[in-house]
Amino acid sequence: MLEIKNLKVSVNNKIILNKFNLEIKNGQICALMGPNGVGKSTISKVILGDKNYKVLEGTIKYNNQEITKLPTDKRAKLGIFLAMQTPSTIEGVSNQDFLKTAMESTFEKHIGLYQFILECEKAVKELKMDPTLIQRNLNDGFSGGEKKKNEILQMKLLKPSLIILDEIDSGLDVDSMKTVFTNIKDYLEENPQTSLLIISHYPMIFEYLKPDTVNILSQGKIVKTSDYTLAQEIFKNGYNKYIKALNQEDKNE
Amino acid sequence: MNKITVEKNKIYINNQIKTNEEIIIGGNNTYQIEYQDNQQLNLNITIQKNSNINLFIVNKDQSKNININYNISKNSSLTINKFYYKNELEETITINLNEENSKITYNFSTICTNTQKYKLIINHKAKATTSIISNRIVTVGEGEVDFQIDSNAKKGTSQCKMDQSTKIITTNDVKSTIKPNMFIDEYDVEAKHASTVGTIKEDQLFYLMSRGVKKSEALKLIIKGYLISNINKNPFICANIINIINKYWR
Repeated sequence: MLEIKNLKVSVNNKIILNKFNLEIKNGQICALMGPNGVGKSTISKVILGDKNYKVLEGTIKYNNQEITKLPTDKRAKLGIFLAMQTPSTIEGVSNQDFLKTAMESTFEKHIGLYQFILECEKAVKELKMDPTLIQRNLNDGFSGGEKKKNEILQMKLLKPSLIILDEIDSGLDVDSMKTVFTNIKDYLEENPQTSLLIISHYPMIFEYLKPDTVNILSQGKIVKTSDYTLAQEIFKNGYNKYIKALNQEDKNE
Repeated sequence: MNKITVEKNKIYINNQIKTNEEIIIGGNNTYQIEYQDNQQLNLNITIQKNSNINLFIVNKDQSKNININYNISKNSSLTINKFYYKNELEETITINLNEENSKITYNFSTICTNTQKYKLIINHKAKATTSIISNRIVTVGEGEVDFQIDSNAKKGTSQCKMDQSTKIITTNDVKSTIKPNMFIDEYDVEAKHASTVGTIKEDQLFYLMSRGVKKSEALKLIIKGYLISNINKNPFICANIINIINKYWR
């Protein structure tokens, strides 16, 4: 279970998140929505401990363990996985070398080449990926859609217990979206204790991965939490109502 | 593979000693060059007409002063893949593209642990000559690099192509510099250059660490990729690079 309490975060001396609270139970699907620039991607990186973001107040707990000061790799080893909006490109590092290193680091054991190839080939096939992408440099020259599929390939191989999808649907064509969402759905069915945090602007992902809770983020904090009907309302009417309400609240204070 | 060894300022080609400082090579051949125990190294290497030569160079010795001139003849191509792992060094390399359709491809990777000064001069002396230069440097510990690269094209050397790219990754607080120059006195020349000095990108480190890879392992992966991808795959050079990287980033 992920528990974020009273989080205050800054980047370059600017407060991005303030009084931010969020709880995701095991097996729960949670959506985080909000207009551009309100800190949705920030929270995903803060959960993983990106050093560009400074936690000024508050705590992040995962399965009752305080992780606020843990290095990124240790958080990943606890089972937290972030599928990034813009995955990094790394010159000279082959996707295959990276995947095998990541698996060996995460599971803290040597993985035989044959076992790795079998697992990798199966996942690549399920994601309908071009198999040559495995030999290429990490994300180097990959299209937007290929990068996103490569993120989900990593998810399938690293077997996390909390998955954060940061705009996984951007850059994907309709067919690729279906493939990616189906793969995530299948993974959740096979691993029912796995939690999911979805950051997205688009309704299609919620048709495949229906959230249990929907949270609206504005001005660095959650301003509304409800069930799936909230997402439907946002797709219909936008965020104005919640931003106005927050502005009014600020004036009253 | 043919082997050239320069040991205590004596040149051996396939274990046969040579009496002067000039090496003349031709045909379609690959050579591996190793320097050993030279105080001051001076070499002239000439590539004959209509040749296609590959040189793999590894230098791990303590030579402090290296001067090498390459002369490339008509319709010839020289490809150099070079890896240095050295302490103090001052090196001047001059590459003369003397005749039409001569070409140099120069890929250099190094891990620098002390003060190093490089001067690389490429002289386009004839029409339709090509130079493709790629340098990848990592500084560690006390490592400090001053890298000057001059590409020269004289008037009349039309249809020349020159491409120079030099990158330094610093893993220390010591200042390193690149001085990239292109002196072109001819209108019909295609030229491009790129030079960067900087640290390892934080977003790359974060990306690898977010997959459970610990920081030292992530650094190793990034540096290995950066240095090896610059050099055409050669098991001898790659093994050398990996051994040295493993020593620094455990």
